[in-house]
Amino acid sequence: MSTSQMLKGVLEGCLLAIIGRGETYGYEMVEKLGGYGLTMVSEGSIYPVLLRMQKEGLVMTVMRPSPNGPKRKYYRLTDAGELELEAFKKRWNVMAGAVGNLLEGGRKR
Amino acid sequence: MMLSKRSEEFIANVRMYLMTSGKNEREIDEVAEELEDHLAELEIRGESVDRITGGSPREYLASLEQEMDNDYAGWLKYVPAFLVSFAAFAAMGPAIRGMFSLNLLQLIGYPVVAGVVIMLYRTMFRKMAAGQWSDKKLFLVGGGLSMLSVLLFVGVLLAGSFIMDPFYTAGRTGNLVIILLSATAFAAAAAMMGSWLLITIPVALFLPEWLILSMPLQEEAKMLFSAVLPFIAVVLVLAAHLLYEKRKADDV
Repeated sequence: MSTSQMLKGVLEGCLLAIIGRGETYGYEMVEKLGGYGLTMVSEGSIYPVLLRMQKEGLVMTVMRPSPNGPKRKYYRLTDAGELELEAFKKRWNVMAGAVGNLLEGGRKR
Repeated sequence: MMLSKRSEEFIANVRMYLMTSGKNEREIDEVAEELEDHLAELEIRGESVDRITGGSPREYLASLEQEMDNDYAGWLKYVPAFLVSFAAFAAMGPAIRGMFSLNLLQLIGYPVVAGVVIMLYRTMFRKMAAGQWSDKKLFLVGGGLSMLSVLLFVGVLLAGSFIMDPFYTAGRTGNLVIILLSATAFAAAAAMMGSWLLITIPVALFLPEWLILSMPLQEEAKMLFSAVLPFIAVVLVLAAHLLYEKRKADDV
């Protein structure tokens, strides 16, 4: 399984974390994810996820002019988004710990 | 900033694919605008649309389709406009020639054929959008499909007139009323769809025929002109429309 495929499952959580660090837009999110070593085979896959997060009220958006063209959509976390990010962090820590234990051959629960 | 032709085509394909999947129009616009911005950033850095799709437009479009909600109700609002303009297209020609009549086979056959033709076009557009067809393939398949559509409609027309007697044949007043009703239907459909094409195309199609038939010409000349002129007029209208859209897009 490639990193890109693994990232798919946790993309929403990673996007919440990126947006949680300050208002940002699509392409910049991909760059920032890449900065953490999280590269995607298909960069466009963030957009349907962002759309879903928007519908679920986790993020709010505002359109502003960009240097490239007429409009660019900027994302910010809502209160619900902050809560979801905290919940994701907890779930991730449990998961990462568990997978880590498994791979290191450590103790069973 | 202007996007490359390949990127523009990709955006058009995304729109087409999502529209034929019955997705929400506003959401399609939002995704398309974000992809345009993303592509502009990529092109500044010398990258291409492959970064967005991961090299497989088909898989990317399928993933978009899966993630986005369906909005069939939003598209259903076009059904009345479609039915009304379809009926008007079918009725106006015969009424102008003073030959409007209705028979059961045509009354059932036309909507069925229209449904089949729409499904075929929908399938073609989806395959085209996902498969990035060459111009040649598009020409062949598109041309074949339009010929098939014409054949189906003519088939129903001929079958109807050979097999069955009409249950209604319009007189002079009847034909005039049908012309007026059809004209109103086109105007209403144009207003519902917000498109001038539903006015300009019927005008191009039917006005020359009506003028030719009311002129004191020989029968052969009338037949020839009324076969050729509407066709030329429609091509001109479509060309003018495309030019207008292109100008509008360039101005943005």
